[in-house]
Amino acid sequence: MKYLNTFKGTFLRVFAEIKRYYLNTLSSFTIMTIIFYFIVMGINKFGNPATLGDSIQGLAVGYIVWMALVGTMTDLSWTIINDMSIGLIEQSFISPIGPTLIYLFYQFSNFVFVIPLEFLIMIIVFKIAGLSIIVPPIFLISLLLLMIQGYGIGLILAGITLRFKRTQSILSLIQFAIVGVLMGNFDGIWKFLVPANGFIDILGKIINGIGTSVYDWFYMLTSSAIYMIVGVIVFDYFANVVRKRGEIAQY
Amino acid sequence: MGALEVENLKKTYISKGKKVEAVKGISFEVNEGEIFAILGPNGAGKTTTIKSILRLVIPDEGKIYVKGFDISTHKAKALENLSAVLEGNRNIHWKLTVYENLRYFGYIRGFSDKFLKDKIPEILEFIELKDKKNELAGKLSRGMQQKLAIGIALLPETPIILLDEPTLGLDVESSLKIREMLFELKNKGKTILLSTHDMNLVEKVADRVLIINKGKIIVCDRKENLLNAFRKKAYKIVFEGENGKIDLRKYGKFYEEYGEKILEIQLDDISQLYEIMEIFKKEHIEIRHLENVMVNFEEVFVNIVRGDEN
Repeated sequence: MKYLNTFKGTFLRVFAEIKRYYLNTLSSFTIMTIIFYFIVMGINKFGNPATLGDSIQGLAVGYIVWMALVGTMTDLSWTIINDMSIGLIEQSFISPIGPTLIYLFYQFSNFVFVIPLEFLIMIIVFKIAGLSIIVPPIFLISLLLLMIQGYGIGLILAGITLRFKRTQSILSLIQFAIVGVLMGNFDGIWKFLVPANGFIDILGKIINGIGTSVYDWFYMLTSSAIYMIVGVIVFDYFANVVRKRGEIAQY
Repeated sequence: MGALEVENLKKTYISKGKKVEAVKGISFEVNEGEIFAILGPNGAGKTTTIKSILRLVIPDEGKIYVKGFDISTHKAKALENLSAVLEGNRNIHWKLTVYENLRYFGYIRGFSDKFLKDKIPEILEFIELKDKKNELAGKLSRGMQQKLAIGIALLPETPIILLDEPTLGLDVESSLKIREMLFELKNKGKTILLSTHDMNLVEKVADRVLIINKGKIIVCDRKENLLNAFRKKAYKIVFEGENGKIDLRKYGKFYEEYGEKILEIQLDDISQLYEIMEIFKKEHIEIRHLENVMVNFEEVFVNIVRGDEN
């Protein structure tokens, strides 16, 4: 029950922050919508969609996956940076619940608010572009698993941020690195190990009406679980490193 | 068994490639229901000690027991008995209101809706921020922010509260209010560990005092014992007229104030006072009055630390 209360606390915190700074929230989502709108319009008018993806729908999948991954991977680090600079982080470490769970819950709370907005962007953009997109429920489940993988990587990055503090440059680079990861063509074990790469193929198959195999589900479930477990271990490890170095409060 | 026990605490940091021994084997015990003050100059090891107790810093050696729970092996149990107001503004979320702050920090310790609904109004009353509950914490005065930080520390109803520099940067009125709050908390049976440079606060509220310097304990005693130790050795002799051939400066601090001549002396032995009075008599210096100088805690602290330095 106490964990549910902690989740409620982080949820209400995220809600209060989004509500209080709604202009910032709205403007960031408006910018994301406008960017996507221009990409779609550009492809329709001047480009050859085939060079960027199999279809506009393929592009949409790539964009929504990219947007979701950027958020899940980097949001927690930005929150840690913020909490270190304004002085909230020590109170999370003093809580008997512990910082790992508190920040994990914070990530999930963020997810609850962010995902509907991201879908809203996709729907708006496709409407404006005169396209229709059918999103099967299985797509949403796969996207959720991908985001869990993203949160695992987010915890690893947040651990690195706890230890090395000023990681803004790395976090900014991540959004470009994700593009590489999504577009890269990996095989064998690398397909399994490189985050998100396997997901993009499966999500593409789902959106194009091709069914998913048992292997696809095995891949999605295990890779998400592994990344999440590794994320928790790495975050916990760095939390102990900064405790030993006496550097929790320093920023 | 004390509420809090620290045994042989040692911590070394690496700063710019050099080892810095912050705490060199500190041991002390804080009793149930007392206000225990940790004093020391900057860099003495106060904050490292406080942070080690909170497990914000992992010590190299030593044991810390909170209500009998070893914090290194039973961290969650130990932390359930501790709350803290850390130095500066590092305790509140500036972008949340007073009420939201209390609610957030209550929830992240795992408390239920029902507990918080009952407890938050009580805390708001105690910290006198009931009328400000919907104001953003970042827009409050420094004194109000500190009251809110204390409110957050009180919310979990822990028996032990750690306060690191609770009056730092506060105006006189806010400092007085914090002092009153500490008395009220003591009356409620809370154990308070206080780290501060505010000697006035220590003099007014502390039961026992631990003075550390360069990571080591210099003294740990009841506040009254420390004050008495210095009080009985300091005297002020007020006299009129010429002071004859004798150079009074060699006996202590000599100065004139409002037409009176004053000699302040620090004695190792009370017999020295009789020797000085004999000299005054021989020189026909008329003593108007003699008083035992009331030392304040600032002087006690300075004397103890200087004694350690020398």
